[in-house]
Amino acid sequence: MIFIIGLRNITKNIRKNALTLLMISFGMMALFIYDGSNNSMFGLLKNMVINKQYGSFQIHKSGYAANGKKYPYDYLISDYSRIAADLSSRPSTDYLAPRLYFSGLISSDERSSVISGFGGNAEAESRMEFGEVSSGTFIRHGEKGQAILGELALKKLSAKTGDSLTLLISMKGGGVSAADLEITGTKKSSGENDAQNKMFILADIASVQSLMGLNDTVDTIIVQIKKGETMARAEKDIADVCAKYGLEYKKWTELAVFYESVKLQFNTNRNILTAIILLISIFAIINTLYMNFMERMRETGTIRALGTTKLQVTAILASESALLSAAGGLLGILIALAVAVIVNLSGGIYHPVSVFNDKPYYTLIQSEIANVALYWLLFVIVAVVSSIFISFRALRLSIAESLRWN
Amino acid sequence: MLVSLKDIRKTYMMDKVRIEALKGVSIDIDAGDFICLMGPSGSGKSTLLHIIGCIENPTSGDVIIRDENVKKMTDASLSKFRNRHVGFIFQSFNLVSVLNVLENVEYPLMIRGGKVDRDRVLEAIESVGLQDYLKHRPDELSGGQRQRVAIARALVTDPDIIIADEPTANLDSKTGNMIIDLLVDLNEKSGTTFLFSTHNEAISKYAKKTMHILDGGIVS
Repeated sequence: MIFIIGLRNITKNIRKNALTLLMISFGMMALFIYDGSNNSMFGLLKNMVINKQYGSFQIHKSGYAANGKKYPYDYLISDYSRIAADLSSRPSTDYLAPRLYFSGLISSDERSSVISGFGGNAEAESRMEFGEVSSGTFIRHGEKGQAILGELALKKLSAKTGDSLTLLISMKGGGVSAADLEITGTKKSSGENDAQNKMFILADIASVQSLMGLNDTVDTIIVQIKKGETMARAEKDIADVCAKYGLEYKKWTELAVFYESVKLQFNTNRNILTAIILLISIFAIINTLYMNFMERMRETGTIRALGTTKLQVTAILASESALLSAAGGLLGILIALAVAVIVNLSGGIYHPVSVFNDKPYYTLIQSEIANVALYWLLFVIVAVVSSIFISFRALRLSIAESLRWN
Repeated sequence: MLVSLKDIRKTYMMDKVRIEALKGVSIDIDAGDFICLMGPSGSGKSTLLHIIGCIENPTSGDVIIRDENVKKMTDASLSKFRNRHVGFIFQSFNLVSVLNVLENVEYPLMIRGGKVDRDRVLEAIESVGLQDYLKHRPDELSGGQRQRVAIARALVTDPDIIIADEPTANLDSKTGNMIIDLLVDLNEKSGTTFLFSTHNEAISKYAKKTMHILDGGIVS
């Protein structure tokens, strides 16, 4: 009967309670949509990080993470073909992108510049971030003697796409070797101060291996896993290969540190928003319940006189606020679901070009059920706690004082 | 002895003014009594009824009901005690507005927890003649009917004493007399102890005993 009284008290003050219910609904809706859009954005970011930048896994020779930067020649993978064949035979592997990093000097007819980059497989790299060139074309698969440069690097050399430039790199164990490379295209810079772009080079891996005197040798193997494959299942394959050939691996989450920090920042923003919305809801609930409770003060005095304990009075009020917030939350979810369907069918929420993205993009509203359930639960808990606070305050009056209340 | 009040004093602070509502009241009430408490407004009638009904604590003195000193009880055990041993009838009926007749009457049994004896509830409603109004909400009833619901609610727990604070004050004289007739009848049939306050001399004639209170003290 306590719940029945709570429910009927809500319907008794329908107009006042409807306003509170709508307030909770809008709060729930805001959280649903914000969370859904965030999820979609992180989905896009994750896809970009994996598919365009780091791959699902990166494999190196054991010890590379600790000393590879200091002694790069000591951590080369010299039997790449055999390892690649093994990796490619694994059911989780989609494709591999072998890389051999180097630095050296590149010269045009007029100028020379320090250069730093890697040799890569044209087919694999074309599917990743460097495949998108700002001018010219990407290096062609199966052809040697080609490279793309950072557009600032090419500008510095007063060269243009199609020109042939001389690359000079030091070999393992000393000595220098040189070769002419055709510059097929350029990589877009993020601005005039993009220091990395001023030195960037991606050459075909066969030419780099030949220049360095390192046949069938790479220092990094990027592994892309098939769509629908779980990271856990793929990791088993990778771990197995690494154990077999004395290699080590890192997952994309370990490599893309910024992804986690961006996610953390956005989640912090979301938590702040949640706290603000909950705080506003608390005030709305407290205000409504307090007014309702004060209007029923004599009634409370009566039921207390009949033997209702303070705990039971609190339970009536708590059930009232729990029902109100649960209904408000559910209404908010339903409205937000309708909004999400409309927004998603119309292509998503538009995000214009900003300092973080050079192209506009669209995010869908893809909320996680667990998060939505958590928000809903938070609303109910906050409402119940608010009602307990109110009843503690109101029950300080004696029964006789409550009965005299006007 | 059902109720024994020993040197009850009650003092209120209204702003900074100290008001002595009861000045050392000592009375005894026997089981089966039908007592009328009379006195002008502000004489301390309601305060005395509230203290006997265990809904207000005296500033000093002892309230002994069924050989138990209620002063020593916790709030929760006092709630339980009221529910089992004291019934209330208020001047303004004080029904729970969102509950219908049946629910209002079964409310005191429901808060005990466990299964409610529906036959007992229907019996109480029948005893006040409202068996045809079970699903009616208080706002669908007349003043007299509401007070009868309140009487049924007070009776349903089979209390030792029913306290009625001016039960006829908000009723016309005809309905007021009917209500008093009903209380007298219930007192005679079930032996329930009644203690009620009134301004109305005519109604006080129904009582087996009448107590007069003036300026916080029993005068006769």
